[in-house]
This record gives sequence, C-alpha cells and structure tokens, in this order.
Amino acid sequence: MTSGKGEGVYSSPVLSLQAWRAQHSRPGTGAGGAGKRAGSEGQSRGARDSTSGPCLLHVLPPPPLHPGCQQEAEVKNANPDGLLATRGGGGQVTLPADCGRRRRCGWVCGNHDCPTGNRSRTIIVRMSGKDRIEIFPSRMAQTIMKARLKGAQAGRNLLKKKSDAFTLRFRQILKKIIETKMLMGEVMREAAFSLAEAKFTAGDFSTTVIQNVNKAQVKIRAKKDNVAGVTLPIFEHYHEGTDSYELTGLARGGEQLAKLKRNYAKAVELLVELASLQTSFVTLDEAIKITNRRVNAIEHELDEREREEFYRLKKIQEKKKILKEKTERELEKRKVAGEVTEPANLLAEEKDEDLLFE
Amino acid sequence: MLGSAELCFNVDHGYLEGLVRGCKAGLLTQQDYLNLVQCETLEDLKVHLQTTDYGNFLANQTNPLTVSKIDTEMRRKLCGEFEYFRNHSLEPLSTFFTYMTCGYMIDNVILLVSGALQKKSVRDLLGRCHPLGRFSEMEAVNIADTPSDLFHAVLVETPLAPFFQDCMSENTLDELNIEILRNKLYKSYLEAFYNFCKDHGDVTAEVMCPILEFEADRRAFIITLNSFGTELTKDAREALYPTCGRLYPEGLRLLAQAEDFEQMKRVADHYGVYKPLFEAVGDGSGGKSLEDVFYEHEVKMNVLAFNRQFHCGVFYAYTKLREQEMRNIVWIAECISQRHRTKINSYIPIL
Repeated sequence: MTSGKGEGVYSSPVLSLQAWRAQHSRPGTGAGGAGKRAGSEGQSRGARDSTSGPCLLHVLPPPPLHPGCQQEAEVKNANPDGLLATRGGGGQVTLPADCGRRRRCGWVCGNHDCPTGNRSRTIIVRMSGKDRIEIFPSRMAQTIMKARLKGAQAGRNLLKKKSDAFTLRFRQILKKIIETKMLMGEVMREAAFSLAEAKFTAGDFSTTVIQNVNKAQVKIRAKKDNVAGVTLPIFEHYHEGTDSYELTGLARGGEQLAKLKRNYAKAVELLVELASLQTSFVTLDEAIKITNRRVNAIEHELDEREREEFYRLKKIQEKKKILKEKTERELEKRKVAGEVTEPANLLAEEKDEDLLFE
Repeated sequence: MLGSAELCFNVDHGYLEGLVRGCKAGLLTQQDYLNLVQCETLEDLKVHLQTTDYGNFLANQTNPLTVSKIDTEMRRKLCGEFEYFRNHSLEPLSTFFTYMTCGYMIDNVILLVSGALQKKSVRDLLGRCHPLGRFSEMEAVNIADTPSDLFHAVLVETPLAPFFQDCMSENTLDELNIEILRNKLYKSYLEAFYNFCKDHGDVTAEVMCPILEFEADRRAFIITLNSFGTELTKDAREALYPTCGRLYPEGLRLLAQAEDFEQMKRVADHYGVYKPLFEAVGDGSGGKSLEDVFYEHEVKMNVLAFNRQFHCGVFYAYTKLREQEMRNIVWIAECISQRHRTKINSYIPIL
C-alpha cells in the first residue's frame, strides 16, 4: 500500500477517519489503515469512483450476499486498486478484479440487485436526508462534487461574515434606539407642558388649529442604506410650504404658541429618526435570523456528511467482520470435510514420508 | 340726575347685583390655591374642590378624571350662572350682557365660517362653540357657500352685523385671512362696547371704561409683539388696533412703527400706567412674560370693580374673574397630571 496522500479537498474527514481507525483498529490493521488511505486514494485513482466523501451516503444495511459476492469474498488477494480492499490481516472482502465498481456502500452495485432496486450503475446520493441526487459514478462526478463541497464551504464562510456584519450594525442601531427613546420621552414631556402653558395664556385654540389644517408642512423622504446586501430604509424630513398658523394667537398667547410650535417640531423630527431606526432594527433582525439559519444549515450539512462517512465506514467494517467469520467457518467445515488440504507448509515440522534418511 | 345710580339701580338690578356679589364671594382664595397646589393627583384636586363653592360638580364624572373633563364642567357651571343672570336681567343690563357675549360670538362665528367653507359637519362645529357665545342663527351656517353669502343670509340678523359692516365691504370677506378677520371684528366690537358704556354714563362708565381702555391697549401691545417676524405689514397691523384706549392716537401710531420689543417698551414708557408693567416683565423663560403681567393687571382692575356699587361692571368683572380662576385650576391640574411641578405656582392669584 502506498501511503496515500490525503485527499485534496476533503481531507479532513479522511484524516479524522484515520484517527478513528487508529483508535479502533484491530491488530494488524495498521496496514489496513494505510490501505484505507490507499484505498481512498485509489478512489481518486480508481476511475469509476462515484462520489467522494461528502455526497454519497448510502448507508443501508448490507444486502444479502449474492453467491457471486460470496465468491468474491473468497478471493484473498488484496487489490490495491480496490476500495477497502484490505481489511485486517487479509481482507475478506475485495473488489473483484473484473467489476471495478465502487465499493462505497460495501457491496457491489449492479452485479446484483441493489437494495434500492437500481440495476444501473448509478449511486444514489442522499444529502442530509432531504433531497436525492442521482450521480453517475464517474471521476467527473466526483470532481464536480468536490467542487461543490468547496463552494459550500466558501459559502458558509461568507455567510458567517455577513452574519457578523449584520450583528455589528444591529448592536449599533440598538444603542441608538435606546438613546433616542430616552430623549424622546424628555422632548414629549416638554412639548406637552408647553401645550398646557399655551392653553393657559391663549385660551382654547384647538378648534382654530383643527379648522385650518390643509397641507403638511413637514414631510419625509425615504432613502435606502445598504448593509452587507440588505437594504434598510432611512427616513429624512424636509420642510415645505409656509406656516399657516403664523397669525394664530395674534391677540393672545402668540409667544407661547410659537414656543409650542418649536417644541412639537422638535418632537416630530425625533419621531422620524426613531421610525427609521426601528424599521432598520426589524429588517436587520429578520436578515440575521435568515443568515444564521443558513449558516447553521450548511454547518449541519457538513457535519452530517462527516458523520455519515463515519457511519458508513463503521458499517463496512462490521460487514467485513461478519464476512470474515463466515468464511472462516466455511473453511473449517471444508477442512473437516477433507476437501481442502492445506498447502504444504515448509515451516511446519512434520515428518516427510518420502524422506528416508533425516 | 346726581346720584341716580344709587336711586335707580337697585330697582331693576338689585337682586342680580346681590347675587353676583354672593357668587364673587365664592371665588377661590389664596388658601384654596395653596391646598390645590399640594395635591398629588387629580382625585385629590376633586376632593379639595368639593369644599369650595364648586361643590360636587365633578360628582357625575366617570373615571379616569382628566383635565379636559374638569375644564368642561367648570365652564358649564359658569355658563349656568351667566344664563341665569342674563335671563333675569332688564334693560340696560341685558344689552350689557349681550355686549359681553359678543366677544365669544365672534370666536364662534369665525369657527363656523371656516368650518362651513371646508364643508364640515355643522353638528361637530356646534359642539365646539363656546356656550356663552350662542346665538339663534348658528345652525343655519351650512346653507351658505361663501363668506359673503354667509353674511347676507345669517350674520346680518345677529348682533355682530354692525361689526362686519364696520370692517369691510362684503366683497373682501372672501380674501381675508381668518385671523385678521377675527381681530378686525374684535376691534369693532370693543369700540362699540366702549361707546355703549360711555353713553350709559354714571358709575358704569367710571368703572367699565378704564377696564375697556386697558383691554384695547393690551390688544395693541400684544398684536404688535406677536407680529414681529410674521408677514403682517405695519399698515395691516395698525388697522387692527382698537382705538378706544389711552394709546390712541399717538401711541398707536408709534406702536405701528415699532419693530422690536425695546421700541415697544419705549412707547409704553410714555404712559404712567404701562411703564411699571413693562418693567415687571422678566427676561426670557425665567420671569413673567408680558401676557402674564397684563393678566395680573386685568385681575387687579376687576377686583377693584367690586369696590363700587350700583353698576353693571360687577357682572363683567365677575365673569372675567371666574374665567381666570378656571384657567388657574386647569393650569394646576395640568401640572399635576403631567407631573411637571416646577411651574405650578405660575397661576395668577386673584384674591
């Protein structure tokens, strides 16, 4: 086994698999570990790989062995080109030389009925249990899948950055909102008191005010501000037209009325600012939720693939173990039945009947 | 005839004068104001008012108690008293009462005219009119489309008709700014009232004329002050000054030329009555404003009116004092309800 170089793109799960295998490997599987690496490299070299790690997750229970498979199981030669060709001391499960198929799922698809009933060579890819993509097991598909994986990772990082930018802006806005609201309380209080003062001096001018309402003097324009791709509305106020209440209170209370007008104008400006801040706040909140959801989804995705990879390998190991035991038993049976003779063992100290003199 | 007032007044008006003096005795005193100022909530205020002449006027009010409810109830009480006086009056007191109501009528008419022009519902408008200014043609305002129609159809029947005729020819009613119209009407009214009192002669003239002169001059000053920085031209301003005061004619002419407060003050310095008033005006937001000073002077004059007997002025004075008291109570109530007690003592003390 050549010591395989780590997979280009998706080395991390492979390496972690290494670690796992180092932990859980049975005696004599050091070579198997290397073999795994070789195997995975063989994956890449093997021309008929379907998908690399992240995508193919066909974790189903091992199918009932087809007699053909059984025979393959007997072949003891380690096929360096086969995936998972060597396991333990002399792998029991090998890829038959003739069918250079993916052994990702631990069985041979296509030679017999795949558990999914798929007679073709395609492998089903299941991604996080959601959607299924049918992948043709080819090197090109693998490259494409790797590229997609890379894209997914890059996308995840970008999303994380976006989320951070949002959060920063969010906090700034929150602080500003608190300040503005406190100021608003003060200003409104002041304005209400100046209303009381004006009423004291000028009498009841409410009807005059209401009667003479026509067009608004203070208007607002909506502008857009962009934060990491999300447009936030900003309102800005502007004055238009003349003061139609200029002569109100001419004979009584004009001074107080002027003060009142000023106070309420200030209050209106503050309200407009507060409105901008609050709409930005709500919009940003939504955007942050969505972005974080996406980040989590992708992370979850990547984790899941890793886990599925583990799971798959574990399953394969189990299956191999079972197969090995089975073949051993068969061997025993045959020995007992006397069908099989052991090959001559030069090292065994046995009396050779042909030798006359020792 | 000398001393005709002492001889004849009580025949027709003695009962009412006695009544109004009794009502005057029920005005809130300084002690009452001190109690009110110390209230924490509007409920406390209501309890304190129950011990005064107001009695249980708020008894039928549902919770929560608001300042506007207090205001409405007080006004209703005052109107009740006023109507009582008016219904029991004989000439010339009834004309006097009519003159008194003209001021409120002018406000109502302005309200109705502007509302009718904007096609607002008459019932709403009537609900907002000042009750003292009621006149019988009020419901009929919605039949008119333009102010001149309104005048011809409706207002010509009211006591306000001569004032309208004074101001202008009917054509110009349409273009006039509503505030300028209001002030012009008020000017005519004041002059007419002044002339009536003067013609009546006797103690009434002695008491009422200074009061009305002061009112005229006060209006002139305030209009001048408030027209600084607005689009009101000096000529237009001069047309609004009532001419029945002390300032006429010299002072008014000087006042029309004034461009800021200092110049106004210099005009006032020529008159012995107004000089100390202007000096009492504080600067900026700390001290009293000119309007506060004028209010205090008016209250003083009204109280002094009760020192003379056998004249109609007591009714005028009583109404004005009652109104000032209402304003004071509303002010204190607002300060309490808004929890802004720094200026709670800025009411005008009466007695």
